[in-house]
Amino acid sequence: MQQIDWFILIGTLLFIVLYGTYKSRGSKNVTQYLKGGSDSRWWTIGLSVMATQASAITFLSTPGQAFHSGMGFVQFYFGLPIAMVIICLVFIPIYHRLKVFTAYEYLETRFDLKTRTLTAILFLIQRGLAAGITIFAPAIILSAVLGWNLVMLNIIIGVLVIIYTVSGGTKAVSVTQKQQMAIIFGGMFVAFLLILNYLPLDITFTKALEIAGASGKMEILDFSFDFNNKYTFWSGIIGGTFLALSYFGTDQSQVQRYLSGKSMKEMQMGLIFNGLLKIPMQFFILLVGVMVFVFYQFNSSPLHFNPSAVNDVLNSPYAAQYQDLQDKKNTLEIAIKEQQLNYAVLDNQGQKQTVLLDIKALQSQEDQLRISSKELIKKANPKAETNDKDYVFIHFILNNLPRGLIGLLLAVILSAAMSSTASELNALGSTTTIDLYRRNNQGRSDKHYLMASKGFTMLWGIIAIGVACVANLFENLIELVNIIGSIFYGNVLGIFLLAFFFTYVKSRAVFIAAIITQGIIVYIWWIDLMPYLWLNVVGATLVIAIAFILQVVSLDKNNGLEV
Amino acid sequence: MEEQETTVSKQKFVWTQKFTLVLIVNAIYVVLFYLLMKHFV
Repeated sequence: MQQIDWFILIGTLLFIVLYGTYKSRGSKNVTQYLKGGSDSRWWTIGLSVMATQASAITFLSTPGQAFHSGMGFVQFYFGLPIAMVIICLVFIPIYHRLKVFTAYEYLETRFDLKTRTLTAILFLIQRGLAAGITIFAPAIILSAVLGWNLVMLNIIIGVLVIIYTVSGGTKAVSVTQKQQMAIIFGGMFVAFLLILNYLPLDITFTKALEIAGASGKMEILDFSFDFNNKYTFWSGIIGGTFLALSYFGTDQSQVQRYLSGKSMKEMQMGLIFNGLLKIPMQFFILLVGVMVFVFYQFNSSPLHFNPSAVNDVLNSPYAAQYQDLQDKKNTLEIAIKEQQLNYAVLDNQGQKQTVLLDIKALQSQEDQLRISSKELIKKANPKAETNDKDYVFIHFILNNLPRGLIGLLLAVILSAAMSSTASELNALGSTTTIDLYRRNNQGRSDKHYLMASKGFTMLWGIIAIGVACVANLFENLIELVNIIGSIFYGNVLGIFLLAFFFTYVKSRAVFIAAIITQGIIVYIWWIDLMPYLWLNVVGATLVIAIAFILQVVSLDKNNGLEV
Repeated sequence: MEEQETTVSKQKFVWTQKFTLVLIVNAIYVVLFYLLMKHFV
């Protein structure tokens, strides 16, 4: 990091905080604070929704995912546009008509207070934990590669977000997200162009894609019905639709983004914007990762990208074995580079096939060396994280980008962390105020609730920093948060679908079904019956089925079960 | 409660061309990815 990098990084982050605080100053009442004055236009909503979903880990981890496993991850997003249409068609008209502050508020209108409170609390637990991880995930990676203090980094990210989110509420979140998205896309686009520029002269973009394809990185679609394969066309279309419906339709951190819209049409247009652009955006980020892979076909790369894991093994009795593997990899790299250059200039298909077979054999040896390196790391430190996909892109940035651009790309990563965290804190503060505090303490002044909203937002910010600071005490916490999300999301989505489409089913049947479903889902997860993404589908289906059965077999037709 | 349920049941779901466009574009993405994959794999 040179002075210019620090200048760009600090300047960008301070600009976002000051701009957000200035542009959103003067919220006089709780409606302005929590709904941003209800004057957002569709492009602001669309960018805000995208910025909320795209956290720092999206920009650190996704290119690494493509580097190791190719473009198949894009299938995960195929259900998202379908979910956007359903939300525009069903969810938004109802939320808009009832003028709700939170998604859970609607459930009291449709069912009763206890169903509203249950879903609000499920959201607070899950999202409160997730907000901490949104801060922790980039902090642990940046502290490992840059040597920065992890706790300090957690506090800095958290405090910067708290300043403008507490001060300006929803408006501050959406105006800063526009700037953050501009920085994110600008930085990623410059990085992409530079990677292409760094490739050898003979390697055009098309040839780079050919090289990637020959190495299996362009296998975008998988139509197989393999239940254990996480990313297939079918899991993307079915599981992805359910997951996106839950996330965008019932998670307050997203619902609050479009509830700030000027009109129902603006809200719908904002989500359509997201539905049209999300897949190309993810495709582009994955493509950056594939180009990083092509770049490393012609340039030296480490055996393992996580520097702290490498340090562990180099300071252990396995150091000599690891160094031996690295030496073998260095030799292989020279051979791979020669063969890739041969492949790129050949026109004869027969000769190309021969060279391709050689390349695949060499890459297979390289993969084997990477596997062996992970085994050594595990022996040196059984607790070390051997999956290094989160470290691939940051390694590329720090070792190859010119001065100034390193600062810009670090600003991209921290901006993404801040934009997601801001939405989460804003939603946590809103839900606590509206669904728990105001609902149970009615009759106070508007100013009182405004101050309460700010207080709860700050409190959740402090909790998020606290979770981020203790997160490294747990193993696989990031996956744990995703699993917790999948355990609750399906059930909550099912409750909302019952509310929208099954007027026959009444409140008590839904509440009991939700409790039973939650127990079953936790049990299914406990016995590891299926990949956790499918819990969303099963949870939603179960709660609908059980509520329907309870309603049919009981019952007091007016209010639900006689229990 | 009954009044609220009546309101919910009267909810009309208005399909517009924008929604059709989103689904068509999604299908186009899949076809493009398929062609891209066939070309480069």
